Amino acid sequence: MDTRLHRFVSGPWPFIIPALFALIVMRAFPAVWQIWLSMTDMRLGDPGSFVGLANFRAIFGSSAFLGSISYTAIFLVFTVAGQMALGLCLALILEGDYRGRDIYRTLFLIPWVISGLVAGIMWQLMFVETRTGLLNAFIGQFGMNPIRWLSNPTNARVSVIMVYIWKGVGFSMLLLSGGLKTIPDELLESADIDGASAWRKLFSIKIPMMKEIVSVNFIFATIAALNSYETVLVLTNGGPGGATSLIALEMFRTAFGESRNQLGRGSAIGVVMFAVTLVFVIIYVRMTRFGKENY
Amino acid sequence: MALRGTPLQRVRRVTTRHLVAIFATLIFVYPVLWILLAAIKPDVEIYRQPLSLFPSRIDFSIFQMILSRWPLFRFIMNSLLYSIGAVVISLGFALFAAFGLSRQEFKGKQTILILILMVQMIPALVSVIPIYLLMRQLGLYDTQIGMVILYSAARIPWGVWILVGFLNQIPRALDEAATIDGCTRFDILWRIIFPLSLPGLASAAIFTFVGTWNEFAIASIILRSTRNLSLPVATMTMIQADPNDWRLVAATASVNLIPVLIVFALLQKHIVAGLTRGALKG
Repeated sequence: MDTRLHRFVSGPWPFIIPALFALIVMRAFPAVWQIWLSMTDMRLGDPGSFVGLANFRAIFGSSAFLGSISYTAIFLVFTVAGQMALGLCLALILEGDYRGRDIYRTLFLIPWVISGLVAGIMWQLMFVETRTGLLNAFIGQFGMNPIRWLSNPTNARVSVIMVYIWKGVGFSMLLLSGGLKTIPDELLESADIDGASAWRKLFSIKIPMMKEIVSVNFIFATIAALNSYETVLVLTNGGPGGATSLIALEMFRTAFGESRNQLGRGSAIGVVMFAVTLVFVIIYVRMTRFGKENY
Repeated sequence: MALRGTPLQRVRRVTTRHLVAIFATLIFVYPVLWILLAAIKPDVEIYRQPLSLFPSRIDFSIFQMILSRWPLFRFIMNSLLYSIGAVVISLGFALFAAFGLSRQEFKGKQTILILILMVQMIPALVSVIPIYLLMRQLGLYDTQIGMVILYSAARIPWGVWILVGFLNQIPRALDEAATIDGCTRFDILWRIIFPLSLPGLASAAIFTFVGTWNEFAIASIILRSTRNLSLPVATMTMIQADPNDWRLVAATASVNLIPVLIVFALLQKHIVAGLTRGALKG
């Protein structure tokens, strides 16, 4: 046998190539192809022709897309901040050994393991706007009037964010719990001896000591939030009047909506989403050992 | 970390924690419990006493109604096929790749690991349009085999990451000893690495299963025919046909939920381990 071929066959590549091939065909190729698609006016059954950057000019001139960008930005900030802040609270509650801690942890994680679709369905029922709707019946017991949870634009924006915080907070709790465990006990003990308050310990020791895991949490939560689709699809389908139209919804609607079928323009939205996601992925990769040392 | 302070302070601190934790548990668990129990309530109770959690009597009639109109078992079997197919195929590919990536140093290894990490972190959702067109081109649109292939490929990166972390901890000296004994690399993979990596494979399998079982967005554009629908896509279809029947909504959602809750209750440690290995061994 040819020695180069022999070396290749006896090397690591024959084991890696099948997985690599699958990833190239099913993930890398679509990502690259989408850049081309975003520069065509393709529709289903019509390959379309090259239109340059017309799709990008069109989406950045469309109020629907700009509206979805602005809600997505608000959504990102509040969802990620809410998940991380409440996740930290839960992680702090679960600190230390006491009876029942593991059960609480399991229960806190339930929203995170269930599907986004089911979460949406569940909360849609909670948000039913009549007096007998669950949340309205609950607040009615305290004499409050029914709230239009999803049919009022501002309320809908808040409701959607609340549901996504509910869904994702368990993940933050899990990461931050892991982070809290890495803080050496001696450090906290010596802070106790110095008479440091709980707040002081939190902000001067715990958070700075786990800033790496906080950053990881931030990046994962942001990428997930940026790509939110099914829960908001069930809850509001982007309504009322586009108030809760997240960018992924806008992409699906442009490409697959009944009357739209604009695959090229939808691809342009996909490229924008890809680019923004990629920025966060690159920040993450640089934070890992790959960015720091030669692995 | 142990709780510190005087006994009184400790009692007070633990009590506060319990109170906050119980409050949080209510918020997290109440909607899930409500929907599970609403599916077996008599119809009128749902609307008349929405806040009462437990049914006065158990009533499965909604499931009879669903079964008379929809091939519910077919949807469940489809979802099992897609999920288990993705588990087996993606982990097969991933174990091979992790073996190649963990047993020796070579040029390009770091690049491959970074690329796999990046693919893992970028949701397939951003490429949903080209994936849809690709499936059409390959004749895999609205087919069961297409769905299995798509889900398998999508889950390979997680599998590789979890398994590389695991395999790196298996001493390479074992391979050398086995080679001297005349084992081929396939023998090493099958007889030594595979049994030793079973805990890692278990984490990856459970993680993959739950992720695939829950997936909706991509399946919703690839699957069209009723006979091919995965459970989440079918759930959406069933609910849209009758959105005001809360019992139907609760029942279909429950069918999605119960397997995930069972897997999670029994194998929670593996899911958590799979997540931390996949996400944090960076």
